[in-house]
Amino acid sequence: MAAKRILQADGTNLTAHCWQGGRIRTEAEFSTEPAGIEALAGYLKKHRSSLFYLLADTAEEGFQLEDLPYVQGGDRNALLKRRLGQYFYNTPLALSVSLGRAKEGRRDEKFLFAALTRAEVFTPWLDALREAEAILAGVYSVPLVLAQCGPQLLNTDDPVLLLTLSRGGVRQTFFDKRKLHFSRLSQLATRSIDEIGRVCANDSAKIFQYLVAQRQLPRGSALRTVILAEATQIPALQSYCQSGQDIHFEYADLGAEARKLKLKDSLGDSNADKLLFHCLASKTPTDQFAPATETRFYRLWRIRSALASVGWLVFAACLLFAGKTGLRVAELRDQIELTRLASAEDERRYNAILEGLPKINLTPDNLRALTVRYEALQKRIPGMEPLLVHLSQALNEHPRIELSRLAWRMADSPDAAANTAPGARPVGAPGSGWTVVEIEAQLPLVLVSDQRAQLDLMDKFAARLRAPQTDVRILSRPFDIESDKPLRSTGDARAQGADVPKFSLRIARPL
Amino acid sequence: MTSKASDLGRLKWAIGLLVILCASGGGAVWTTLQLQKAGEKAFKESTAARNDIRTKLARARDEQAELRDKIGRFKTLQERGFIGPEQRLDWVETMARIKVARRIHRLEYDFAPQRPVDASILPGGAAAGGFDFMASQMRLNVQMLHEGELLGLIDEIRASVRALIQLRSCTLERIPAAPNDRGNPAQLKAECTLEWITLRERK
Repeated sequence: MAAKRILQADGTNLTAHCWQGGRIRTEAEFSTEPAGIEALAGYLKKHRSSLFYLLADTAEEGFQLEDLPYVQGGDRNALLKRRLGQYFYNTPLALSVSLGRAKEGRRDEKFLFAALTRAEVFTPWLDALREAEAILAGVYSVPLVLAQCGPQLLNTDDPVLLLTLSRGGVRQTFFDKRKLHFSRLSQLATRSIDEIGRVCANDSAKIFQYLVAQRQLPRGSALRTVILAEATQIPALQSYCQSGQDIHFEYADLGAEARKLKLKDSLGDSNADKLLFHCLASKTPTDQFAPATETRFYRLWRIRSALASVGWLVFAACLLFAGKTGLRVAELRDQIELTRLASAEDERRYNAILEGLPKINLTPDNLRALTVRYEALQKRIPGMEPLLVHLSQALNEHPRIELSRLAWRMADSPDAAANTAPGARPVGAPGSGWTVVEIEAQLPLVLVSDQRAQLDLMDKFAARLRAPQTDVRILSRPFDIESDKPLRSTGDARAQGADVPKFSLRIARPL
Repeated sequence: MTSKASDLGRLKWAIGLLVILCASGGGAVWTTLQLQKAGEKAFKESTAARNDIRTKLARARDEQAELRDKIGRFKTLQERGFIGPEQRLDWVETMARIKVARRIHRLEYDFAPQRPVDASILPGGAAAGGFDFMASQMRLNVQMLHEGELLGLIDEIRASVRALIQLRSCTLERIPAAPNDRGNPAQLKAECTLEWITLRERK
């Protein structure tokens, strides 16, 4: 947080005060002489990161109240600018404050136009601030500060006149409905309590007459006047300021009010400057006199502060999120460690069980895989005997059939060719396969001219070989009787010396 | 325009700070998210491993009996010499001994180079839990009196050699009577293909 420094400007000098946590420390005083301006430049350079508040405490102030038609947007700005130009044409240090809209009629809006009418008093200070690129938050006046914290002190909506003592003199500030209407400074010559009392009494009477003349105070009503003074000085003031029919004096303890507003410094007398500085630093008024060009560095400072704040906010949010994620990571690590420990314990118990087994240089999983594969291989190591025995039994029952050739083989399907290269054969499902026997046989020569008997004998032999798990297929017959093949007469085959009738068939059985 | 450019220049450190803070915060978030992702993956893996070992442990009693049986069978394979390099010299000597003992008139054979078994021998290929099934193909020509001698010969080969014998094919034919070869009493000739299978440890 940047330090806050209040530059109090009266008509001739500038006094610098540092505000820090409710305490005020006077740091320097500068004159308008070149040496004073140079000293101010050095001071500003030294505290270039501070926020500066220029507080005007001069008698040269103007106040104008006016009801204006309610307009908005650009028209409103143009109207207010024009009015300020008309009222205070020779000063850039002017402002307008809305006091609210009327509740009846056209519902006009009441404005207070205020200005520091002798701008040249502030020109050296503003030039120095601009050249030093000091962060000027704004140019304020004592009435503006009182408008911010005065209603809290007065605590009433009724018209009230507040009298305060500052470095410049006795200030009379008039409030109605908690809004600032005007203010006036009466300079003091000796600053004695007697002079203060006399000024308070006389000026209150003058202001009463002015307010009545301006119809800001209903005729016949008394003006409530509050004097903010040190408790020990109140009795002296009371001897000068006595309530009458027109003015009703009240007294507020400056020290008590300062404590209420959390000013930590003690006030030695009725001078309310420190309270004003404290109000300005802690509850800065929204309205101020400086044009935008004078507060350029303040706007930049605010943008920088906003950027930094956003950055830190994002960083903090990210750190919070990262912290939350980090906690989750730590939790996960704990869980992983616990799981690993439990797994290691189970592994140890499992290994202890395996330790009881005969030792081999093979993991259980590999042992299982090897056994499964070995069993699968064993299923594919058939013998020739089952099919040969089956064939022998059929031949015994059909002695007229003579075997001339036999080919046994393993195959993936009954129809697989016998001479196919092993790697090129179609692969069946794991564990599937067939044992196949192809035989070539011949029939007795006496049947050479009796084709029906040949076919009958061959069919009976094939039928004998068939079984639920045995597939039998005739590959070739003694002669072809199919319609799609030529058929030739045989004549007296035996007399012509024909060959013995032959046939072939295939027997297949799954593994 | 100049004022705006100048103002932007005056804000460069604040903008830089904002960028650094956002980048640092983003980096911290990204890093912890990566750590969380890795942690969750490791947690899943450790949980899966834990479940695996718990399942194994629960089955351990049954497995103990199963493994004991399988170890016994594995040792049998070791004892029969099915595991390890081929003993081709033993095979040749065994074949010679069988030929003499069985008084086989004619017995000829040749072995092809050893190769991993293919799908025609064992569907699924050669791999078998840290081992490979290897095969040497033998082509056998033999002449005999009757088919019983062939069956006996194959059975004796299976029982005698340190390899697993898979008979792939066998063709038997009658030998036509040859008047000039009265010394050969053989009636049948057989041509067979056998796979001599052993297990080789994978490296």
